[in-house]
Amino acid sequence: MSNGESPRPSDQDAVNRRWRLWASTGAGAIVVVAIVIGFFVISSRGEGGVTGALGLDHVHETPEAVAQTAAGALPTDVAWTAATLGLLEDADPEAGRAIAVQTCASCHGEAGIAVAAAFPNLAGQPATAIFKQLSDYASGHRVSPMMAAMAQGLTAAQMADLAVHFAAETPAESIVDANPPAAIVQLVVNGDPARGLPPCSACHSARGGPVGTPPLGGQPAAYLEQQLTAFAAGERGNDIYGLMRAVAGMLTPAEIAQLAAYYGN
Amino acid sequence: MNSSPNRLVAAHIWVAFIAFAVAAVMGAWQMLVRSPIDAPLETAETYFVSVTGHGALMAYVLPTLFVMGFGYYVAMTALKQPLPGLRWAWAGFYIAAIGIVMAVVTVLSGQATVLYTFYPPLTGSVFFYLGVLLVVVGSWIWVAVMITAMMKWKRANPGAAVPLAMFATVANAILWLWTTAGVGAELLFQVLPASLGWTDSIDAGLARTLFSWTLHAIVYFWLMPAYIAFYTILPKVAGGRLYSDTMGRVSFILFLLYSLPVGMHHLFMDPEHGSGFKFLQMMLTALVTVPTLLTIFTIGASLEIAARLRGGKGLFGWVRALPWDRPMVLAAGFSFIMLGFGGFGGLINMSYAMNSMIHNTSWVTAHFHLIFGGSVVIMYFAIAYHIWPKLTGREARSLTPIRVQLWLWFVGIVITSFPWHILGLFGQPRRVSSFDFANPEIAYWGPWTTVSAIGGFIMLAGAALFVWNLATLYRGAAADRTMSYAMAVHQPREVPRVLNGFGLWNTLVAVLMIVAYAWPIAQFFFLDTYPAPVQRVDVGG
Ligand code: HEC
Ligand code: HEC
Ligand code: HEM
Ligand SMILES: [Cu+2]
Repeated sequence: MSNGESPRPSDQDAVNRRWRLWASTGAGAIVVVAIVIGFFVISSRGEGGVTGALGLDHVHETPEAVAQTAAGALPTDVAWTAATLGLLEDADPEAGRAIAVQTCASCHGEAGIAVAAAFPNLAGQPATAIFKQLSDYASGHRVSPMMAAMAQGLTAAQMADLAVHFAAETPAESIVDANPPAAIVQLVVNGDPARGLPPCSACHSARGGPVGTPPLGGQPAAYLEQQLTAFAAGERGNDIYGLMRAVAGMLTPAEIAQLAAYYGN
Repeated sequence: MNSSPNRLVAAHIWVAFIAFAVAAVMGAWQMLVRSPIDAPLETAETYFVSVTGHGALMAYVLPTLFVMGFGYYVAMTALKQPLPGLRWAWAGFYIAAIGIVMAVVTVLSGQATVLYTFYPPLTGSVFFYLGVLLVVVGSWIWVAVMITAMMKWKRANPGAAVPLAMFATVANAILWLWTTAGVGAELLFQVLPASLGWTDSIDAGLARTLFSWTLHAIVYFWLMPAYIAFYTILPKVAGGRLYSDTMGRVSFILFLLYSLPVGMHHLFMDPEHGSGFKFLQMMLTALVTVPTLLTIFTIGASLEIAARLRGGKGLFGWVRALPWDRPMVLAAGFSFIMLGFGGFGGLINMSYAMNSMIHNTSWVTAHFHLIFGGSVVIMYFAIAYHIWPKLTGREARSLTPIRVQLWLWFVGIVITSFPWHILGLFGQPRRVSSFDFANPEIAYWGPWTTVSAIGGFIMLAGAALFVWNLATLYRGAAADRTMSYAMAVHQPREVPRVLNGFGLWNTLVAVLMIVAYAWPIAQFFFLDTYPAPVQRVDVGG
């Protein structure tokens, strides 16, 4: 074996220099090649150009823009930031009750159980859902002349007070359909992968769903049918990412009626 | 050698494997829950308690404590000098032990079902994060002891080549220091303040970026003991020599360089980074093939030398001449087979485009059980079996239970992970507690998950037999306590200075990390970002 003689110190220095030089050049060259391909060759073909290759910047500047790219038009002014959620956390249900007695009770009932089938129940809906709908009525993202008149007179804090008040009330009893059509139960529980339809229950259930998803059980069936039809036609478009529009747009009118009957009273 | 340093090594390794055994029970139970077979206590809540516990014990406790224990052992036996800072080392052990207890109790009480990757804005009890942080602090003491031991040895042996086993161990210690910086920053500046209620929002994009800094490098930290055994123990046990000491050094250096600036390959599907940085890090990721191929070649050549010395003949016929009855050789054989399959899967994971096909499916869990649970952990077993006679002073009474145990683990891993990969290709999501197998759309997954679950129980049997072996088998003849490492064919007395220390390599790591991560992290401070509201899992609501 030829390992006997070890290099003299001056050789050592030369060997070291060579290692340093080649290691740094090698690592540097690889980085340069990767940068040229990643930032110039690939990105010149993709969206956003060179700045697009950099990061966050090109994807979305604001949550509004996120929603916009997904849905084509701005669906809502409400974003679930810590500030919005904080507003609901600090809200006062008693102040909400006081306004409700005055202005909402004639249609929705003081405790959120509607006085007639023409009006939706509010009792037991998540505060986020109620707050969002009120904001959307006020800003015109959800269109209803009747509710716009109601909501435009309210401040954000009052909307939050109303939301926590109704959220704390006991929901209307849901009349369970004894013999629902199997195809409808299938849509609710499993959706329809062939159409890319997610199951309703993935979002509309006690534990599921994005922030602000309303429960459906116990609402007047006619109201649910009207909302689904409006989503399908694009007349109601305040849903973030257009997700209810996408879902409703894939349903047939018969399915909409049956789903409304399944969930509603 | 007096017995206290040996107790230090044994204490670390025992804690590592007790954690492993507990987590193996959880793993087998999880398998049942995901299969059509009914499991006791089956609810979504208990499932996520279990997965968080299993992941944290297997990914943080087992490897960290094992690497620490083995590192202390290498520092004493390869350098043939007493461990500097023995008291510090014990302090590190107790700090880590307290952290483990804290984290495990918190998870089991349901206060931190956030999974071992933390997943902010999910936020659990502060004691979980503090527990994990204490384990890291304990391991930083280990890093300091490893570096001190090498420096001390170099001063005492000017100009001499640091033994390869120690050189690799220090490479791993330095790698670990770099690795933990990412997750450490995430915990200190984002997760802990949220968990303490000081902030009500957390920037999930930044958190994921910092975690990605850690996530790939930690895998190499886990892997290093296996590679150290391949280079410095296996050739000798097989009856030969290491083919090249220099190849070993270069490989360990390349692992240090190219396991760090690459973590963004875990974020291919994330929106917070641009394609340029993703491509850059993908390309750097591909460079791990270099040390991997160097290793396959060097270890293959070393084994061939051993086999031919034992009379092996033929182009590949020599493989049969290897002493397969020796646990280290048997384990290494299994490890290579699993690395082969796992490496193939890894190529798919790291490809920007193919990744989208398997993203967040069972493929991913199957992949890391094969590579990490299989290839790496089987070498942890082999190392423990190898050094136990030297720690206890007694040989094993019989090698049969050891061979049976290695076979059980290998067969268990294969039966578990092969169907699990296929389920991933079918689209089965990971981290989901139960499936409705009555649904015709996915009913055909049922048999595959059942087979996989059976494999899980074979693994569990292998885990139990391993602990039993360590605890009861080493009561045989008096053993030779000296640990010796494989000599190289050309055993160097001196090597170029750059291959005997980490100055240059640390500088290069720093440069690469700046190129790869400076802007991706800095952008969160320059651009308008929208942090996500904290979601607590430890309070009702
Ligand atoms: C004159 C009757 C009337 C009054 C008074 C009224 N609402 Fe309404 N509300 C309606 C009708 C009708 C709708 C359904 C409108 C639609 O089709 O979008 C509605 C819808 C809503 C919704 C949406 C529910 C859902 O499930 O999407 C909310 C929330 C709501 N009202 C809150 C209030 C509050 C709070 C007040 C008191 C400040 C109030 N409303 C006063 C008639 C009324
Ligand atoms: C991906 C989640 C998701 C799925 C799946 C989904 N929904 Fe929705 N749904 C929502 C959200 C979110 C809203 C509230 C939209 C908004 O912000 O105005 C909503 C609103 C509704 C409303 C209006 C309720 C009201 O009180 O005004 C109806 C009716 C409805 N969904 C029915 C359905 C039905 C029927 C299905 C199944 C075919 C379904 N949804 C599937 C998320 C979902
Ligand atoms: C008895 C042996 C084992 C069995 C049966 C088992 C089984 C499982 C199962 C079923 C999951 C959950 C998968 C999911 O929800 O998608 C899981 C996750 C995991 N396992 Fe194992 N496992 C075993 C051993 C190991 C070993 C040896 C390691 C590593 C050393 C390991 C590391 C992990 C990790 C890191 C996770 C991820 C947790 C997460 O997704 O948050 N497991 N294991
Ligand atoms: Cu990785």
